[in-house]
Formats: sequence, C-alpha cells, structure tokens
Amino acid sequence: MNGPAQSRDRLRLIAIIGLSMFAAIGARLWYLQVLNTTEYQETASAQITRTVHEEAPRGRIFDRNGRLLVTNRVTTAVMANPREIEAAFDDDETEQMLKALAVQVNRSALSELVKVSDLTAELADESYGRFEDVVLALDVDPSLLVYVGERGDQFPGVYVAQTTVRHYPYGETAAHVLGYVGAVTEEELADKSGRWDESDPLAKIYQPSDEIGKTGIEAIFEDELRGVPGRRVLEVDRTEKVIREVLEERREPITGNDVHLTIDVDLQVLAERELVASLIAAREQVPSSSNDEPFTAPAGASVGLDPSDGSVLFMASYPTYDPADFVGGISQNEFELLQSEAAHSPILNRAIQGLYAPGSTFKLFTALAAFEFDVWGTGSIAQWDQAYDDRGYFDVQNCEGDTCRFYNAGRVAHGGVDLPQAITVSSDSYFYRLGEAFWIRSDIPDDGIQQTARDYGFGSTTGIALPNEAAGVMPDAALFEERHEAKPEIFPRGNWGTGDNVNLSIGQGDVRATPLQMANAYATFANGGTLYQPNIVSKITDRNGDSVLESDRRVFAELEQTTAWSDPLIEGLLGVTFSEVGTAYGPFHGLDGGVSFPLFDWPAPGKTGTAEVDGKADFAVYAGYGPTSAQLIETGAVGPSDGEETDVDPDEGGSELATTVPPRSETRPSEIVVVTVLEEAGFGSDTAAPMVARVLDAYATRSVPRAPVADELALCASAQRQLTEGQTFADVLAERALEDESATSTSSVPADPAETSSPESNLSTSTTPPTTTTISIGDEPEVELAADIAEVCAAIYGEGIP
Amino acid sequence: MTASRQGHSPGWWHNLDYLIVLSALAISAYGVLMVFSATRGADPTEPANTSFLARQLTFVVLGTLVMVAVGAIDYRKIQQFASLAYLGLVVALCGVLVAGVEVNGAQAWFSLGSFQLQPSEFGKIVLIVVLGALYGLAPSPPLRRVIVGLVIVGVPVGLILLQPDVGTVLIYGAIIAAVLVAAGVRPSHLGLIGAGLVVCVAVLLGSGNLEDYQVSRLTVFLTEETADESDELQQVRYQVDQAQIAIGNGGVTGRGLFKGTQTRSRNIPEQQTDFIFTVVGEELGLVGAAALLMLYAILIARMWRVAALANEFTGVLVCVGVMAMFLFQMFQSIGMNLGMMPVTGIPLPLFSYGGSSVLTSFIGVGLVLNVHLRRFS
Repeated sequence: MNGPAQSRDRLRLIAIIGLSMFAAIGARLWYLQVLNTTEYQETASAQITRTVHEEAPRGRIFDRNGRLLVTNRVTTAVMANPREIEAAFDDDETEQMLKALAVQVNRSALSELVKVSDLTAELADESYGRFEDVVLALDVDPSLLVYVGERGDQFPGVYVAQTTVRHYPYGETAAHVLGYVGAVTEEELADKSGRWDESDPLAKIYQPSDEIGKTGIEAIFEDELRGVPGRRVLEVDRTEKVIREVLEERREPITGNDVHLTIDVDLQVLAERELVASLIAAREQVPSSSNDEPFTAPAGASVGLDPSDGSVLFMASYPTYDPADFVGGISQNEFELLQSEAAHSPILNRAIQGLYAPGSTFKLFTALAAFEFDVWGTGSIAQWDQAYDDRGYFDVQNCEGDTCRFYNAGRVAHGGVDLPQAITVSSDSYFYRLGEAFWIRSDIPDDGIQQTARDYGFGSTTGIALPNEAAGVMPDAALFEERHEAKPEIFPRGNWGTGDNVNLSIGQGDVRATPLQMANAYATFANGGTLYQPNIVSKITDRNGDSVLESDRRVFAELEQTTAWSDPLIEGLLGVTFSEVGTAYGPFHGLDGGVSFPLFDWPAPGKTGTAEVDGKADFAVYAGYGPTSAQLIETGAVGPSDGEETDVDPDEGGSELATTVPPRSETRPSEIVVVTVLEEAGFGSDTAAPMVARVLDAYATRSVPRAPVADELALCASAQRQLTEGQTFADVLAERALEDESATSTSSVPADPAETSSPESNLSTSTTPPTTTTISIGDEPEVELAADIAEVCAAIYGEGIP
Repeated sequence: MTASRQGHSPGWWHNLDYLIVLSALAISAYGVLMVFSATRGADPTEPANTSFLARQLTFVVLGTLVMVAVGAIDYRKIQQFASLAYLGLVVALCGVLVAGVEVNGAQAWFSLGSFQLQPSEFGKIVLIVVLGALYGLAPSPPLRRVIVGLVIVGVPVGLILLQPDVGTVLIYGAIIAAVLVAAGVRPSHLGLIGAGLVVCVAVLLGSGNLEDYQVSRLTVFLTEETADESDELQQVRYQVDQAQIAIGNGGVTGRGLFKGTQTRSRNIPEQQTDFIFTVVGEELGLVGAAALLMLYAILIARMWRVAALANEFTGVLVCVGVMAMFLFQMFQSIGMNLGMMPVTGIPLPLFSYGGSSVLTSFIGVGLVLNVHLRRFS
C-alpha cells in the first residue's frame, strides 16, 4: 500500500482524471466550433451589427414646361437621440430639458411655435427605430446649432442638423393634384410589405417613420417618387457604442424618380385664382326672393383638358389646403378640420371626387343620343332642323296628375326652336320631348340616352392616375330597382318612369358626374369622338433625366360621331357664347364679369348648366372649349358663308340667332376644354360661364400670366401694401430696386455712370425694371426678382390703385 | 543513483526539463498575445491600447526570473521556511480583509501603487509547500495528520471565503484533494473528508456569507433560463452565452487575430482574465484552442513525469500539488468559457492577465523544475 507501486497507481489515477478533463474540453470544443459553428456565427454577426437606414430624397414633380411644383429643401432641424437622453436623464430632468429646449426653439423658430408636450410626444414616438434619431422641431434658426452644440451637458442627445423636407415652390397651387406626404402608417407598411423583394438592393423598403405619399400624385406614383433607401451597417459593442462602419455593406441612397405632369402651372394658377374670384363674386348675388336659398358659393372645381390627347392642363378644387402643413407632421385637429364637412372638406379633390348633376350641359349628350338612335321625324319629334314650339313647359303624354307638366327653367317660353337654337337658348322643353320619346317609343331603346352618355364616359371612372376617383351615377331602370330592393326606406320608388327620362334629358334627377367626367365627355365631342383616358403624367425620369416611362395617350373608344350630327350641335354651342340670345352671351361679350372674347378668331362653343339641389342654391356649371373649325358671321344675322347653305330656316329660327358655318376645307382642332362647377352659386350663365370665359380668353389670347412662386407672392403682397394712388406695381418695385441698389450697391445690374448721368436713361431705368435684381422684403431673405414680376403682381392684385 | 553521478556535479541545469520550460514560456507568450488582443481597443482605426500588453509582458519576464530563482534554490531548503510562509499567508489574508481593495465583489487585493497583489494566489504555493512538508514525512498518513492538514488548509480557505472568492477556494480544494490522494490517504478517510465537505458546503450555503447570486453563478451552467430570474443571474447567463457564441463563432480556423467581433464588441466581460479563452476560441478557432491545450498537455504531462521520477516523497507531493493546480485551473477556466463549469473567477494559469496569477504559476513551474533538477540528490 505504501510502496512505489501504490504510489504509481495513485499517480495514474490523477493522470486519468487529467486526461478525462482534456477529453471533456475537446468534446465541448468540437460541439461548439465544428458542429454548431454556423448557428453561433449567425448569432454573433446579428448581435454586433446594427443597420441604420437612410431615407433617400423623394423624386420631384414638374409641370409640363419643366417648372418645379414639388421638390425638396434642406432645412435646419432639432434632432434627438432618445437613448442618449434616457441614459443621461430621468423623466423629470428630461421634462426640464425639453422645456428649456422649447424656449430656445421658439426664440429662434422661423415658423410655428413648439410646445413641450409636442416635444415629449415626438420623443416617445415608437415609430422611430432604435437607432433612429427623432425630429423634434423643423425650420429652426441655424444659430441653434452652436447654442445646443456648446451645451452638451444641458441637452444630452440633442443636436441640430440639416435635414431634407418636401418643398412646394408654388405654395398651395395644385395641392389636390400633387397630394401630400406623411409618415407611413402601420396599415401602409402592411400594404407595402409584399411590394418589394427585400433581397433586391434596389427595393424601396419602408422603415417606420419613413415618408409616404398620402394622396394625389404623391400617392399614385409613390413607387416612382420614393427613392431607394441607403443603408449603413454599424458594428457596435455591448453598450451599443458604434465601433466602426462595415463599409462593404454600405449602400448610398438613390434619389427617387421625377414625375412630369401634363399640368401647365400658369393655367393652373390662373384657373385657381379665377375659381376663387368667381365664388366670391357669386356670394355677392342677391336671391330673387327671400324664400330662396342664399348663394353661399363655398366650393367649386374646374378642369382643363386638351381634347387632342386627353391630357389634363389644369385641375382646380376649392377649398384647398397647403401641403406644406404636412411637412414635419400635422396635428390631429388640423387634419380633422381638413376633412370636416363644416369646412367643406378642403382635402377633397372636387374635380374627380365631387359628384354633381351636369344640368343643361348634359343636353349635348341627349342630342347625340337622338342622332345615334335617330329619333327625328317620327311621332311628335320633328327633324332636328325643324322648329319646335317651346311654350315654356312640356306635358308628358298619357299622363294625369301634378307631375305630368315639366317647366322650363324660369318658365320662359322660347318659342319656335330647332336643335341648334334649343341648345343656344337652353330650351328644356325641347329636350324633355326627346327624353320622353326614348321611353315611350318602342322602336328605340329605353336607355338610349344612358347608352350614349356611357359611351362618352358618364357613369364610370375616367381612369385618371389619381387616387379615389368617383365613378358618378348614370341612372336607369335597373339601378332604380336595385336601389329600391336594397334600401326601400331611402329609395321608395323602384320603377323608372317617363318623368325620370324627362329629367335625365336635361341632366337633372339622379345623374351625377365629376367635373373631370364632364370635361372628358366634352373633349370627346370636341375631338370628333375619341374617348381618351385623361392623362395627367407625361413621363417619369430617373435622377439622370433619362426617361423611364413615357405616358402615351390612351384611347378608350372611337365613337361614331359624324359631322352631320356634330355640326348642328357645334352651331348650337357656338350660339351660346356668340348669339345675343345665347345663355353665355354676356360673359363672352364683356358683361356679367366676363370678357370681350375674341370669338371670331377663336370660336369658343360652350354650354351653361344649372343644377337644382334640394335645400341649396343652384349649382352653376359651364362647359366650354375651343377653338373650332366653325366660322362666325359677323352680321349676327342669318347668312351663308363660303357659299354653303345652311338648313336653318330664318323665319322659323328667329332672325336674332347667329349662324355658324363649319367650313369643311380647313379643320381647326380644339385645344382646350374647360368645365367649371360652382356649388350654391346660382345660374351657370351668371357665375360659371364668366369664369370659364376669363380662363379661355387668357388661353386664346396667349396672355396667361406667368405663375408666381410663393416667394414672389410674398414680394407682391408687400409691394401691394406700399402702393399709393396712381402707382403701378412696376413703379413700386423699381423704386425698391433703386433703394436697394443705393443702400447696398450689390445689384446684379452694374450701374453705368455714363448712362445714369443722362436724364433720358434715368427715366428709362425708372420705368423699365432691370432684368433681374434682388430685393429684400423686410427681414426676409433676398428674393430673385424676375423681369415680369410687376406683371405677375398686377395679375394678382390688379394694375394698382388708379 | 550512481556514485559517479553523485561525485562530480556537472551543473544543475543538465537535469533541467526543457519541455516544461519551453511549454511554460510558449503558453505565457501566447497569453501575452491574447491579452493584447482582448485589450487593444475595439476601434481598429484608433491606435491600439498597449498598456495591458506591456504590463503582462513585464509579469512574464518577472515570472521567468522568479521561476529561475525558485528552481535554483533546493526546494528542501525552501521548505524550511514553510511555517513562516504559512504564517505570512494567514496574516496577509487577514490583512486583505481589513486593508484590501474590492474588485468584482471580492476583497482579495492589496493595492500597491498601480499594481495589485492577490495574497490568495501566492497562498496556493504556500499551501503546496506546507502540505508537501506535512505529508512528505511518510506515505499513508494517519488520520491525525490528515486532520492537521485539513485544518492547515481550512484557515486560509475560511479567510478567502470571507472575501469571498469561491474560485480560489475551489483551487485550494483541488490541490489538497490531489495531494491527499497522492499521499496515500486511506479511501475510508477520503470518504469521511468528502462527507465532511458536503456538510461544510451546506453550512456555507446556509450561512448567508455568500450572496444568492454567487450561489446561482455556480449553478447557472446547469439550469435553464426562467422568466423571473434576477438581473444578476441574467447577467451571468448573458456572459456565459456570449462566451459560447464567441467560441462557436471562431469555428475551426477562427475569425483571425484581432478580428473577433465578439471580442471587439466587448460582449464578454473580464476578457483578458477569466474569459481569455474566448479570445483564443473566436480569433484562432479550434486550431488555436487545440494548440493551447496541447501546450498545457505537455506541461502537465511533464509535471506528472517529474512527480513519478522524484526520488523523495515530498518532491512527489509538491509536483502533484502544482500539477493539480494547473490542471484544475485550466479545466475550470476553459470549462467555464465553454459553459460546462460554474462561473467563478479563475485565471488560466500563465495565460490570463494578472501579475499575481502569472508569478504564482511561474513559481509553481519553478518548484517542479526544482524537484526534477534534484531528483538524484
């Protein structure tokens, strides 16, 4: 037991224990480093790298002439890193710090005031990722950069930096078309989750708090406008301190594609201005009797289309909003106000979402249906060129009761009218008769009017590339039945009757259309029967300016529309503006707030409409276009032109009607269709027609003023305050430019001493503003002053005080 | 033993075990590199932190000199100072409880300027020498001597538990267990001691001197994670997980020297000391770990050989004690890194950063060389 042998045994025991220890370690190493190494490597890599996403700048939006409607601007923002604040401060200290910060921000804020509660809410916003910094305030004075930077102890985790936000050079212009952007919501994230393949390096993956287009072009072309987000992979340590950037994993953000619209911003601004002006003018009207509803004229829309290809030239909707309000987030209250009916839903794009009875503007399509189904010459209907005696009312055949007599608007009797004259004077009875004929005659389809109207695009969306377009309503017997069965308490009548057809014939009753639908239907008529899908985007270009998508005009249908049908209709529509008895004679002849329209150079057919709405004042509608191939005869009396006889019998038609002769030799395609709807604004001839007349006049005479950018508007506003009697904007602005020059001598126009010494040239400098110069508006930054700024100002405020 | 050999002395270095020296130096050189990797700083673009490297290098050079010194003096002469050394140890351990500094929850260090001295580390050598002297008198010690030995060990162990430093106590236990086995203590006595140990552990756990988390640290590697764990325990579990992730991340060939992401990200605490093996595992992989184990295997096997060759029982026991110290520390330290042993702060001998540990390890190597050199005298 005590011999060397036993000693050896004991040592062997220890050796065996030692060997088993090595074996155990070896086995465990094998397990960790050979069998499970892949799993451990994945875990290791995941826990030491952090991916920070950098949102790419969104693409820009241009008008048809390449003018920037939406771009991005760099601004100074107060940012915060919540983790750093959390590490340094408890809740009370954070509150104190935010208070101090709010004071500083408000002291330097260039825009709205900041509340402590807003800052707290921003800081707690969970949509920001763990490694993302939170925007506390936008548009602050850059001097805060130094202030906060020097006080790291006082403001831990807070810094001031440059950031990029959406910028709208034309302010509120075309807000409904452009739309706005905002932080992506949970639902939108879910919607977009399958949109991009995450493994694609060009995938436009969203992170919470990223920007997304909410409405308009911003929403529809989201996938184009959104840039490819950049990515930085950071290696961090246990305390989340960044050790280094994994450069090989870096991806630079790629700016989004630019969208080029068919909109002409000059026309857009003009139309918006005229829309507001005509609504304001409409409110001045006094109802004919105290029982009538007042003309509140709270809202309206106007659409301009190019009938040759269906492209949208402008699209205005009122009331409107400022998309810049959404930059940096909008408060719930503000947003609810934009949607509230009390404020007439400024967010609504009435041009594509507003549903209106087209009123008498619909008569064109009733007449086209009459041609298509050839109702002329049988029964009580005379040929289209034969006069019908409009007695001011129409009695439905085989009908007994109060509802059998349909009156003209205002119960005016127009006397003997043929089709063109019926359109010119807007004879309701003439069209009542046609509407009745469709329903009671067995040889033509009951829904002939609806069929034709549908062909021209009524009752279905136009397919324009804008979200939430309304389809409108084209009522028929089937719809009545369906509605009644679904909701009998709301729709007690399930049977379509003669009266419904009679109402439909003049665009009343249940027919509803958007201004865009009406414009597109008129455009289809104006171009000879080609129904286009209205187009608002001409092309999309990438950041190099290379085109990635050219938008081709898209034809929905080629309708049968012979000149034999359209000529008398054009004649009637031209009479509306040209003839003394035309319903829009005044607006096109310098009366009723209209203009002296150059009808001979630029014939402008049109049609007024007045839609009756229960419990409200009438809605005013006008559809107009031009030019046409037709020629007007100056005498205003009947007479043939170019040796061609018209079929109108002067004795029957009334000698005061003008006659139009469409010459076949020369065709002149129409360039623009304008439809305007003014809610609760009275007769179309009184309010909507003058508005369209003014817009078409500017277009026809090529005097559409250049649209001012927001900075210029500010300049005009300040110049307008300085205007004294007898001065024009040019005077005020030139004065200012001179003051500026003498004060700073930094004018971009070099002063030539030889020129200024001559009294003549002194005069010329005072009357002719220099091509470009800079002017300070109070404390505001200097603005580039274009040569035509005086004209621009004058277009907004008038020529000055006489 | 021949007369001729005894007669002329060709110089003591002729009997030097070069493999022990070389493997010890290789381990410590390897260790210096790994300490540097663990402490050089995370940011590759910034200049590396070399302060740990410089200090560890100093410790290794100093340790080599101490090893030579210890080897030069006959261990039997050293043993004459055993009682004195033991007394010094007890005084030092008492002193550290009064005047020591606390690091990582244990008051185990004297602060000497910029260096810190851990008496319990040197105590391992004192214990080995004392036990060697006590049981070297004759194999198969009587129960009385066994108990005396236990009491001798018990005093410093008790003092160390007051610090408290469970890891060092475990090493002390391993050393005495190995020495007792090698000394030929009867199996029945060993059984009694084992039973007594169980009682002691139970008393210890019940005494409240150990905090709950210190207990759970010891057992965390055996348990599954639960939802209501204390923060401390979660932290321990996190450390153990991170260590294994690091080693697993290394794979066969490793991430490359200075390229360990776990190492760089500071996910693992005390990486230059207790968790130094994770640096080897992550950056140099299975290859680097195997090389280190190989060096330890050579060192320990040679120590075993010296014990087997020793001509005198005290020498055998001293070698067994040192070997047990190396073997257990290596197994416990690497085992903790691999998640198969309790989490206790035990340095990897010759390898981990730390002056006391490095010097103690070199003294131990010196003692074994000493025994080997004098195996014929």
